[in-house]
Amino acid sequence: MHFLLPLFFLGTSLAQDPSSLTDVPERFRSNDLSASSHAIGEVCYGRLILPSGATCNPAALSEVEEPTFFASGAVQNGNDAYAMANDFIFQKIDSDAISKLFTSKRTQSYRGQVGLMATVRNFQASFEPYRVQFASQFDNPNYPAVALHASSERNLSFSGGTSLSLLHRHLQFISVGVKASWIERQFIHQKFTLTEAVLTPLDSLIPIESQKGVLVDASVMVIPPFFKPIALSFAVTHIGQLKPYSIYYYQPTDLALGLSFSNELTLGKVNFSVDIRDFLYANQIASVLYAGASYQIGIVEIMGGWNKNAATLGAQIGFRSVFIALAYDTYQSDLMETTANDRLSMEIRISI
Amino acid sequence: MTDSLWKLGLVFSWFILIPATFAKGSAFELLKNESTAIAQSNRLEGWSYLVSGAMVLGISTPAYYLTQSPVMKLVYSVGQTAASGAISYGATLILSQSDSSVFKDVLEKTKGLSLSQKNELAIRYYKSRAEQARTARHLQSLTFGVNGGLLLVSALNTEERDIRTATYFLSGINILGALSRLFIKTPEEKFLTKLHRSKKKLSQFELSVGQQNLAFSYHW
Repeated sequence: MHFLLPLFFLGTSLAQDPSSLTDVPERFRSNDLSASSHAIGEVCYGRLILPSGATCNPAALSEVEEPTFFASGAVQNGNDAYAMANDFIFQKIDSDAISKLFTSKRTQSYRGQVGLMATVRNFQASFEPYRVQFASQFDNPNYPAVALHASSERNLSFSGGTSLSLLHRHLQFISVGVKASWIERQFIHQKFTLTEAVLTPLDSLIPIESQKGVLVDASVMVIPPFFKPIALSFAVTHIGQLKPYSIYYYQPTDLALGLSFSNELTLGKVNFSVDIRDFLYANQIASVLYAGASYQIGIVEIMGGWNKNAATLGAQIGFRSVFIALAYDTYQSDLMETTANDRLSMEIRISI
Repeated sequence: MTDSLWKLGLVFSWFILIPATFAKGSAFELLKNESTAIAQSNRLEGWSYLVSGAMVLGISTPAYYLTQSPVMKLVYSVGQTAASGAISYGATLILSQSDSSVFKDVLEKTKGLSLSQKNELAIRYYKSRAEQARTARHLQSLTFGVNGGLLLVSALNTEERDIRTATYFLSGINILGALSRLFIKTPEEKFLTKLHRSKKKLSQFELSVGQQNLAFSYHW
């Protein structure tokens, strides 16, 4: 799998932030933590229908053919990281939890998501009661310091999208959509040394912050009547703000462009998709690009993706009501290491 | 010369093209086109399931025995189950006939039926199919409605915040499903309504076959 590394470093070396030890890792701002989305590079506006059958682009709801209603769970990395994330996010932080940070593996990373999703033509609703991301990094054994990043989110969202053929039949190639999400977030983003951990009271050492609010995305999609495999999307994203303001989750209202090419083959279907997202305030080109490709035949979908955070390969297998998606990715550590870490994500989806 | 050609064209249109269009657009002709389209779609889809099922089975069976990880064993085990199901489903799609294909065969192989009788029977077939679809739709609406109501009662009696929200969510989705099935007609019903409205304009109907079901569209 390490043949992915050159591809990965090509982009991430450009996008790396030198203050990343204390900044919230970029990947904490992911739209979707599921393995199937991760496997196509977390493309959102460039992909009309995601491998799960849901859609991230509200305007693409006009293209939904099959109603989908599923419960899903997705995890990345193993039990150790999960237990540590659980300690910091859902338990009362104690000295045992702190000591684990200094004695466990150098880098711990965990992402988990559990949700319900219902998608029909023109409408989608989702509820994610559990969406947790955790990363801890232990640096410099002689003067031990730990960077701790953890966030827990609850998310309830409703999307609606329709073709403009409602207004005039000649406008059937244009669709519009809106997505509104209610988000509640609790988070910790802190760096401290072993000495500070010993001398400082835990409440002030690791202050837990929270924010909540509504974010709205609005998109327009055009499927040219003369070449239907192509779909172009334009979106205004993150309209609104979570309160209180936090510099760790600075997501100003921005723009996104999506390009999708999908074509039915004799056997199977191919899809190529590209997103250019949040480019108004971006510093580097690589940080706004998301790309994904997939080939779906029968019960199998083979996927590949790339974005500033990771290069990914994945597969989804599913028949009738049970689906399993696996994504393997290489991503650069937030400690400016020259090596990349490997990560395996798994998602189980059960159609209801 | 030009005038003669124009008259010849007019005669050709009146006596050959227009009757041919009506014959092509008959209910029986629609049934034939539909069964052909479904058979072709099922054959391709069936092969997709066969090929992908064989591929997954070929990988997941040895991988199951090679891996030591219990999680991966579970994944490969699900892969094996999905693969055998897909192979069976693919073979069924390839080898079995759709209802419309069976009925078309019955009409074609029954001697002594005139074209108008075949058309009449085809319309009755479409009517019967639409009635079945409507009954199924109403039953689904009832099921979703009862489920939504039960979940709403559960949500009202749940203390834990996340479980309560999830139960409200599920209840809302079920109630929406019930309402949509109560008021939105199935493609089969819509097709029949339009068929009745314009029996003489059957050629304006178009059939297209999607991955899972038929889609009917009407152009005016």
